[in-house]
Amino acid sequence: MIKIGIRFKFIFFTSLLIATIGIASSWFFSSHTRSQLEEELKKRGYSLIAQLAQDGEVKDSMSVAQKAFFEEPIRRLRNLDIEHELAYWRVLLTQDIVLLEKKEKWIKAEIEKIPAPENIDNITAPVFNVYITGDSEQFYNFVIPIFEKHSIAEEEFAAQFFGIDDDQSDEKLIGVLQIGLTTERINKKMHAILWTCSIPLGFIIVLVGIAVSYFIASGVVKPVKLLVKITDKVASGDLNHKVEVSSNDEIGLLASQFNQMTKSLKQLIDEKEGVMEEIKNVNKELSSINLELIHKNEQLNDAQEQLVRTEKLAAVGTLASGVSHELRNPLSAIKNAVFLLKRKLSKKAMPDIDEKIIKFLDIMDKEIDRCSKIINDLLGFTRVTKPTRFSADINAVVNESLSRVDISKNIKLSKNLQSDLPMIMIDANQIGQVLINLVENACQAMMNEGELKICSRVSGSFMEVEVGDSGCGIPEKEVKKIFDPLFTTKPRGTGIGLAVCYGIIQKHNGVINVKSQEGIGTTMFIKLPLEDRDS
Amino acid sequence: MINKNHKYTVFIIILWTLLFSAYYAHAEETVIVIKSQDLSAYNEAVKGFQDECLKNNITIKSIYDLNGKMKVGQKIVRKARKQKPDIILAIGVLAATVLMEKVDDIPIVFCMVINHERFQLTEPNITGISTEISIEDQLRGFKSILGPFKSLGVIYDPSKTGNIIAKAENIIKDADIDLVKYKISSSKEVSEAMESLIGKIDALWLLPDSTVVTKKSFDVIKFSTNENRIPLLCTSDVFVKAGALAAVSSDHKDVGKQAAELAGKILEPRTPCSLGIVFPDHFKLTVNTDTAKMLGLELETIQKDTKINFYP
Repeated sequence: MIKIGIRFKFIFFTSLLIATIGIASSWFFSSHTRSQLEEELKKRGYSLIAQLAQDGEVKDSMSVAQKAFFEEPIRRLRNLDIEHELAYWRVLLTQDIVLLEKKEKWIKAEIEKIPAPENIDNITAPVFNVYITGDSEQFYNFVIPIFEKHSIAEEEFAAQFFGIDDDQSDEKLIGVLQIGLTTERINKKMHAILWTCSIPLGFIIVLVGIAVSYFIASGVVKPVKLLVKITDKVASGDLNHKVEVSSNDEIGLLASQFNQMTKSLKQLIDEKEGVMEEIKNVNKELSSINLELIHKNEQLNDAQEQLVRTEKLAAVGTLASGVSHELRNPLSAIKNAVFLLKRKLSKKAMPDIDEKIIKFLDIMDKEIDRCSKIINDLLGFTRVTKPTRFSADINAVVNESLSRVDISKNIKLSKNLQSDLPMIMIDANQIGQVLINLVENACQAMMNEGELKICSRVSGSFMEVEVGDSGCGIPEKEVKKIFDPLFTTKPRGTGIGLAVCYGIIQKHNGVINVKSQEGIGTTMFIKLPLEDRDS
Repeated sequence: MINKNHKYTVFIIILWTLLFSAYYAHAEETVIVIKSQDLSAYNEAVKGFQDECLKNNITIKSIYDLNGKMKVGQKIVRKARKQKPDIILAIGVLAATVLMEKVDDIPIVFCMVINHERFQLTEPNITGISTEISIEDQLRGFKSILGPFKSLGVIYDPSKTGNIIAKAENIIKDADIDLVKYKISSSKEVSEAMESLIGKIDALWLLPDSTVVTKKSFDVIKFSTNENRIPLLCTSDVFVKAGALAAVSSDHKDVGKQAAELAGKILEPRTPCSLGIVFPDHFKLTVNTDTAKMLGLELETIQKDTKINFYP
């Protein structure tokens, strides 16, 4: 949006006002001059026609209806018309007889078309009207009745005083005289006035008005602009500027008040900045305390989690140990019984025995094996012993573990094992068990199709092994629970494997972590200390 | 012995002498009448003059009409001089002024000159009869109709009737009447004058002033006075006929007779000298009964007076 400044507004409206006044003045001057000129023309017209009417020769010429006798009176009339405004003249006798009608050559209108007065018997006094032709020629038309003079004025009064007979008339109308004066000279004069006076004067008024308004506006706007500039600086925070206006008017007062305000504002802002600085420092301290608290809290949470998990593991271990021990013997008996039944049935040919029974026995045998495995796993979980550490090559442990897992052909194995890795003090069997568990889990997650990535590297003071898959991933809310015993996402899982892995790595003073994204895959990280802390 | 022829000759001589003497005796009292224009009033004056001349054995040689024209007047005066009358009667201002200018050796009697003082008809050979009735007679006449009244308004042009007002002021004051004057210089001021006078006057006195009395202004005056029930008093019965209440004016025929009497007096000593300017011997009071009725005036007491003319 275009901003219109106060200077522009002031100059524009002042100029507009002055222009309006100028135009109005010019118009008033013009119209006043015109009306004066018209009034003068009217007076001249009355004067001319009165002089013509008083010309004795005119009366005599009218009395005898002799057109030729008018030449001299008309010549005298034209001599009196020093402004050359006389346009036409006409002499009418009673009964509307036109005795003479003539016009000046330079008048365009035809004399016949200029209306003659009608019913002249009713004209008793001079008549004036304005006639405009079809070609916009304007004439001031004057008509005066001519009476046959009865007597001298005093005798006329005597006639009035003593009374006259009814058949006598003090005045007898001979006819009327009509003259027309053109307004051409007025028009020319007005035109000249317009172009030599009104318009230049109006133009000068407007120019002077604009110049005056410009200087006034400048005088007013300059300190205001300075004030605005300083205000901008103050608004942007720079309170060190003062408005230098020395005038004693409202602007000066405003500047003085503004400077006072700026000073007060600066004091307030300085005070505020001091307080803000203090708050900032306190805030900083609080932030560092907060960070520390968060860190401590995280540590506490980790410790708590670890404690909970350890307690859980211990509880589960105790439970599993008791349950496994109690179930192991009955399961062995059932398995033996199933074995014996199968062997007996296979030795005798018994056509009435349904093949389904054999199939059911196979299922029972298989499920008993599964139960046994679960029990073994539980027992294995409870029997994780303190690792027996020896110096080992982690890459060799990785390769050994991979060789013991049946990896589907559809799974692409990507190994990125860093060479020349330092030897590490670990229980190779336990770490191998962890790696086997992790690789099996990865293969199961990929449904035997995808990419299995295994990497090994040194990361800081740890040896890091990464096992990644492109499987279905673990939902985010379940990621934290995967190391909990008996928690599983697999339909036939026991929830023991990763808990065992967690326990083994913990006993190696290492860390096992998981990074998973649902639909993309899961990566497990094992970090083992390069230096054995226990030793 | 006397010859018979001689007898005839002597008889003829005696007869001629007698006839010549009789002719001369009669011709010594001849008058020429010059009237300014052909007005009934002027003709009445001529008639009165003629009647009285017959009684006084004065012969009217010619009666001329100037038709209101100055040039005609000058021609006629030249013509009249050639006839060598004993006296010339000028009727009207035009005739009087032309004669005053052109004739100084023949006695002139003028009449029917309105406000003659304006024209300074004061040459030694000029005698005249004023048209105006004396102020006292006018007041007497007006009072006989209106009864006593306190204030009398008048509109006048000082250049025309200032002399009348100057003379009238004291007389009117002596009659216990307050004269309320309003000066004008143009007939256009009449309306304003009327507006100013109304409410201050009991009656309006209309002077023979051509600035005040024009056709238009008379209508204005008549309308204003009638509307405000102010009696309009004039010096000519013509205005009474036009609607004014009353007028005290001279009888034109009587004026003619009075002029003939003056002519006789001038001719008696046979020396041309001025007898001055006299007021008319008789005057008449004319009343407009319609206007009086409109103004609510009771005329019963004066209606039997045969000297008063009632109109219509």
